Amino acid sequence: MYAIEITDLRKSYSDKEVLHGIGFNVERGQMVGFLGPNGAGKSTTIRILLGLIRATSGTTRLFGDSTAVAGQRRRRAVGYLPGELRLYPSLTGRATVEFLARVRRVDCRQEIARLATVFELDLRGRVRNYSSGMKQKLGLIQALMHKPQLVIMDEPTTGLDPLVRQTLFAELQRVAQDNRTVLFSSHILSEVSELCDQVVMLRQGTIVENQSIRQLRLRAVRRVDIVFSAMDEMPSTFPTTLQILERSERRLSFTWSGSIDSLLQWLNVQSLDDVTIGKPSLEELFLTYYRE
Amino acid sequence: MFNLAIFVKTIRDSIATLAMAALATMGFVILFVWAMVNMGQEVLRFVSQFPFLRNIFELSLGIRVEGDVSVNILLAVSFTHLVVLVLAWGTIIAIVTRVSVGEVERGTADLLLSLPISRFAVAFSTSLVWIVAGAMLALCALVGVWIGGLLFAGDEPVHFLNFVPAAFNLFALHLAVGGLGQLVSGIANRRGVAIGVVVGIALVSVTLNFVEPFIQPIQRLRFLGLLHYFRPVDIVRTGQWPTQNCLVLLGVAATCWAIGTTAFCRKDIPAA
Repeated sequence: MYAIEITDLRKSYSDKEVLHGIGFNVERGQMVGFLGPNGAGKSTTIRILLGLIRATSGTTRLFGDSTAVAGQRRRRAVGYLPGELRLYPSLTGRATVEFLARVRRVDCRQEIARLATVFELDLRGRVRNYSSGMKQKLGLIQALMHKPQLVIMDEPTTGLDPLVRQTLFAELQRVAQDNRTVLFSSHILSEVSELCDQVVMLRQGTIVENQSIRQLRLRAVRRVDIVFSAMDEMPSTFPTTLQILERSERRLSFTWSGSIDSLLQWLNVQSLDDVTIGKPSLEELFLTYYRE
Repeated sequence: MFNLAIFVKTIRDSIATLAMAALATMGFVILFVWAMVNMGQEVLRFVSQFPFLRNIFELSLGIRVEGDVSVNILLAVSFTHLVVLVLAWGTIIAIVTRVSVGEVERGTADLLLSLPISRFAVAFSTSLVWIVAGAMLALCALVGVWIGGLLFAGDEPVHFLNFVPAAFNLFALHLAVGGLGQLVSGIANRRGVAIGVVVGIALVSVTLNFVEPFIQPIQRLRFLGLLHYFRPVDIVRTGQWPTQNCLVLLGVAATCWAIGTTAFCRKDIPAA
């Protein structure tokens, strides 16, 4: 059984279709990055999943149950951080999370206290006096406080400093270690590649990539610097997966977008004095989707 | 169906407004009792000297100035006074629009409605608050008459029991306004728009009730005004329960509530 199943999901506003029949599944215990530029339809998909808006057609399931039928029951297992978090300004941080816990009818005082310590948030202050980063921390606490089986975070790192971001990533890894599921929506590529096992990439309401990070890395671009043993050893033609960046006498710098095996095979037949192979960068691969 | 946390939070958010409106209503009615006991008959004598003024008085309040107008009948007018109605309706409209449209506009609905609670439970739990508020405000008007009667009653005793059905009629009227508020809130996405529409309908109702005795063609439309079903003067005069009028008002309240709640349960919640 999948934690999330989305099949042929469409959403139209007036006569404009913003989701064009998307579909993907998220297995239990997976940490999935939901990537895409602003306006790609990530938040719309999440909001349909949570019953905040209705799909024009298609089905969404949480833990095997249709969200249209059993959405309320299944949302017990979900912790959600909205992309544009709005809280009750007149309440204190503690009153906010306690109110949300009471609506859920769960006692999460211990976990609230632990998360407040982890995120270093003083819950005694009024939300109206919180900075945007503190509000975001409070949003993270309310999303994680009931130890949900599925955590859905829509751009959670907004307003967080790098240290808190690392704390969040550690918390999410802890969630994944408990065999719980995370759907992490972001437009920041490095965050997703650092954290997630799989990536679903959305562009203009269509899924353009749904792969494991490992497979994507195989297709990712590497920077390679080589020094030929002699000037006349440099070949006159190159493989199509090779893109020259710099070229001078014996030295050649290029990017390689094929597999590491094919790169090694090609290097093996060259007469070289030195080779430097850089780490694969998903950034370049994703940017090609963003630019298209 | 019922969520205690939402009910308690809505009460906490509304308690200051409700307490002020309740005290103001009671205070106003007590003052009204004092004024009518001490000056009611003089006012009537003054009014009776000017035919035009007398006409307005008789038609709009449903009493005959030159007849035997008792203090009790004059006191019943306090229930239809604009101060009492504005205080009650203002409070009820503020509460009814707070969650179903206010939270949507503020963006907090994103968080609230993604919790494991049905939208019906949200609507039901918050509706209980404005129903209680409506009952409290009607009760305060009644208590105002009782306290005023105890403090200022002259030769003619205040027949408190005759005011009980009038207060129930007032409560039914408040429920109808609340139901109307629920209907508009269920459809609208802006709280200001929702408040404006409900206030507009209430104003039209008040105006219709005031002008219909004077303008013949409008009399055919008087059944459309909510105040047409609110007749405290007749109730206090006869002491009879206004069953039919209350049923109409409760019917309006229930129908509007059902439609508004259905719309709220089905509508897309726009992103903040």
